Amino acid sequence: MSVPSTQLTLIARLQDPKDERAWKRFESRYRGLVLRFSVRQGLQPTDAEDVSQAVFAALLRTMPTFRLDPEKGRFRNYLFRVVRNEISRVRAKDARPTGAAAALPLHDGVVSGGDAGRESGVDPSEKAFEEEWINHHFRIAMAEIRRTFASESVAMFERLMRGEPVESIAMDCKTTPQAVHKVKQRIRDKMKALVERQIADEA
Amino acid sequence: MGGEPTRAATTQSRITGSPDALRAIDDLERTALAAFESDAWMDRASRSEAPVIVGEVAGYRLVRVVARGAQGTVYEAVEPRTGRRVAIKRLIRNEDVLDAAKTVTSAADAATTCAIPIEDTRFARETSVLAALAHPNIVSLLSAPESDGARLLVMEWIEGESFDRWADEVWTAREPADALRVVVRALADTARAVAVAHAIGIVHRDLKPTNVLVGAGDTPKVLDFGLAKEIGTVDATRTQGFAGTPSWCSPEQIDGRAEAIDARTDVHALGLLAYRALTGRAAFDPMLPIGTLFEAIRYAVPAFTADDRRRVPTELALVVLRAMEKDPARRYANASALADDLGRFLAGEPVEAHPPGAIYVARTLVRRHRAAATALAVALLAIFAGTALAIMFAIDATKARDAESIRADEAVAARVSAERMNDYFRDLLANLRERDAVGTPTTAAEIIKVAVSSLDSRPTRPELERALRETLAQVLFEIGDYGGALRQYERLLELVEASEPPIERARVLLQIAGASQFAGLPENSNAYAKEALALLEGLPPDATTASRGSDPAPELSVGALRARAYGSISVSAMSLGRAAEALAAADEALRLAEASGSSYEVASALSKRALALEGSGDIGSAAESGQRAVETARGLELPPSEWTRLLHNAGILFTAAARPAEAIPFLDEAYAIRLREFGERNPRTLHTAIQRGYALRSASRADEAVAALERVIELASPRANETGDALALHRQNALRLIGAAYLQRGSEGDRARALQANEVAVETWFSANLNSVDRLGSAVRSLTDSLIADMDAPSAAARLRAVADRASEVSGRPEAAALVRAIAARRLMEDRHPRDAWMSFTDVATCRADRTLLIESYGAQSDAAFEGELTLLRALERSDDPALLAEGAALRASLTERTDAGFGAASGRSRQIERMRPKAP
Repeated sequence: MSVPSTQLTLIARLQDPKDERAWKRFESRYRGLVLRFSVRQGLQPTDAEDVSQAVFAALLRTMPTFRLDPEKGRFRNYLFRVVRNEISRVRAKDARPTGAAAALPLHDGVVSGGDAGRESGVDPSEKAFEEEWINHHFRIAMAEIRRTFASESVAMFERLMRGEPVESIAMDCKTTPQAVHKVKQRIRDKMKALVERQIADEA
Repeated sequence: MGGEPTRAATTQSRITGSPDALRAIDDLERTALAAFESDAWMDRASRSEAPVIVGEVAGYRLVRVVARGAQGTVYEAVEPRTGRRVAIKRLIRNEDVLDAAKTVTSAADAATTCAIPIEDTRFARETSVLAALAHPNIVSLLSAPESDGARLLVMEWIEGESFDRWADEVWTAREPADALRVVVRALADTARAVAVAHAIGIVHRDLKPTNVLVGAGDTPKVLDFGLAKEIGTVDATRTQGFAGTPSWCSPEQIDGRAEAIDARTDVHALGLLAYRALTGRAAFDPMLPIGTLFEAIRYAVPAFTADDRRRVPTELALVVLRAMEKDPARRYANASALADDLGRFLAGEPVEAHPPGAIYVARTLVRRHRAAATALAVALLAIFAGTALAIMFAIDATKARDAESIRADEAVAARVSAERMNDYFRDLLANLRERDAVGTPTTAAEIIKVAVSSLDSRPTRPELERALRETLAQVLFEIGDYGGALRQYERLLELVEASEPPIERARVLLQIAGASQFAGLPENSNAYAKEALALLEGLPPDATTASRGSDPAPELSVGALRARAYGSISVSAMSLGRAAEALAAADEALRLAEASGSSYEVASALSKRALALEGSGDIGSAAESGQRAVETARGLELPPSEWTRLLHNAGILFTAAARPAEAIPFLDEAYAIRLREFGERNPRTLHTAIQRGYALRSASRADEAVAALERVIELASPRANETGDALALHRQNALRLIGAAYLQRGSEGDRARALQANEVAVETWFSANLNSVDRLGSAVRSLTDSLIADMDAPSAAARLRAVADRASEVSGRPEAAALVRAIAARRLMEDRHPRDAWMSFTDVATCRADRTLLIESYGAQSDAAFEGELTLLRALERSDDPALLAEGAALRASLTERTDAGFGAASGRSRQIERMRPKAP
């Protein structure tokens, strides 16, 4: 069952710095991840914005020569290293004038960043990043669901996510519980396909 | 991990879609996708959208939203003074407090905030429950402050993994023996924690892997007592419906039997938790459609496969199976008893759980295969209840003959036979018990296989053998083994031939006619039915005979049997392409059935008449007749095979009448029943599943059609331990249909998927050696469509030529290639393709030769020959050579003439010829 794929993944397209559409898509896709992760790492929203700008500036420089090297990990590992470096830089900048570094719940004392900064054991912020990374893919898929599904289906699904009983949703929407379950299934199937495709797009 | 590599491999191929781009998916990616295997994906989806919060509440600094759900919102927070991390839970209420807190994301967040009804009672209960439950394996409550009118639960923060993910990691990271010990200990700890709640009269009701987090030191912590209730109280959270997460629910929960929910409901959930942790699979696949999932929870016993059993010792499997029992009375009485048994297992002591006893096995069988096993299981029960089988057979004998003909010595003989029966069933049972001990589901088919071979190898008194053969034949028929049923009936016919009254012989003949039809032998069926009819003609109209086994009629009159005979004649005539005969017979069957006064006979005749109407081209009336059959039969206690046949037929007729929306409810109902009664891999169930897929596709519900058909293909693929490929036909049908469904869905990659499916369908014909030309024909038709859709005509032609060569090579029959060429050429010759396309594939001379070959090989009346004729006709009519055009006109005239004379009216041939009229130049 082989279907040779001729479509380049998003990451592969970034090798071409002139492919503006790819860059736009890339930025809109990953900006949220960088922002959210930065805030979770204790940054203020404005600082998180700074981090995100710096990260994309750095990627614009490095992506054209980026090669996916299985030894070093995936694109997300690379992204994590870049983001972590930028966060460290912002913190260092903050810390210098005020000297009040203790205010921030820093997971990692590593300031130097980069591969060399990895110490033995798992960097706890990496775990947090991985968590964010999964959330990120779900969030993008969810946005697509909101865009493409009928608004009634999305409304039903939101109530399901809040844990409302199927029966009461069905009653309010004047439909059957079966229909509500069907909506849920359709959204799940679509969402799974989307997440799979997005992940594949990172290769 | 049992099954893990396979699942990973499947996911992998789904991700990449191509071996060229093959890369292993890593653990994190697997984690992301695994969420879809349970309801975790909903948590993820909702959590992923939660605003990132920077703010404070009740003196805690909020870090982020961990989860939003039925129970409220859970935040990760930090107590600034101590730096201690806590989890804060609050009802989604006064959302403004947190909205005022600064959030990073914008538009998407607005959508997630929406008020749900405030449920203070539930909240208060969780507070009191948690306060009462101080246990190292239960999350501890630190405080319950109020903040700006919102009530909060501040709980210890647990840095851990959900139980299932944790267990998966343990199995990967440690030696098997060590992993087993660690996992079982955590299960026992969890059960102990739940036992503490049970001891003070609290049931958790929502135990599942995500509600048991395992943190440092492999210590599990039970969370989320939000659904908890006190045993014996009325449920305050829900007055109807079920509370909980479907795939982790117990049968009593999904059935909404609130009064039956007690500690044993948690025991069931703990069993499921254990099964997931030990096997790596959810006991009940959350990916199943909800109806199927509920059916599975009600009836299916999760199996420990051979792979699982390498990891899970029998004793432990028995403990888990007992916890997962369907009937609460058969489970451990509470979590403490389960914890004790797990403790015994860890200590190497014998566990209390034991293999189910013989009577229980028999009873389970009755429940699981209600239709199929009835007769056999009744016999099994009779043996073990100590009832003399003689009684049963004496009764049977009374039914069959005059009471006075049972003489004393016959009664003695019956008793002797009964003892032999006893041995026979005892063997059968021993065999079953061995298989059922660790939950391998025993299928009805397996039981019957044992029964048949045992009957064949044992000398038996004729009257006893008669009864047994009849039972076996009916059971075989019920489970869809028509060939097997036919063999039993034929043997039965030999047994009745000499001695029985004609009406009884007619009855048996009609059974044989039915089985022959289903076994794909319509000519035999037609002949047997006519033979039965001849026997019945001479009988007085008020003569009756006793019905047998699952026959819904209490006794059969000559009139009813004649109605059945005409029904069989109609159906077989249809299969033989004799539409006029079929319709006349169906009308007669309906008339006789109505005269007999039996609703069942009327429904049955209506359904057959529907098929006859379809064959004669009146599809709208056919569908309505099918619907009337269902309406007439609804409420009658029909055996599931009969009832679902009516539903199934009504469904396919509505699909054929291009009214798929009306077809789907019939097919849904038929499918649900067949699933329950015959199991998912039964040929009948698959047949309905395929038709359902077809109807869904016709209704433009392509996504659902694809999902349904993918499942069929998976189920109809041979399993590792199977020698034959019995379900190849079903697989091939599903593949063809799914090709069309992919084309209809038309999302990215679907065209390629369609092409692939159609290629595999053709390949299946070759590999499974499916001898029927029809099957090859329809597969090639679909493949051609798919190829034309996917590539330019010359490339499609080249590919099809290869298929044609392969067809004759594999089958050793040149006519197979001729058929492929005829079908493919005709489609390539459609007006929208350039002439070169088909010219590069074939030419008029080949078409002419192929036609001759097809007529010689398959007969002038056959569909294959007709294909050859149509193809030649098109080739001639698309030519610009006047001689060829004249030959075309002559062929058209001859075809039309023959069709008008009844040549294959059944398949609407005249319409096909008409449709092929070339466009006016």
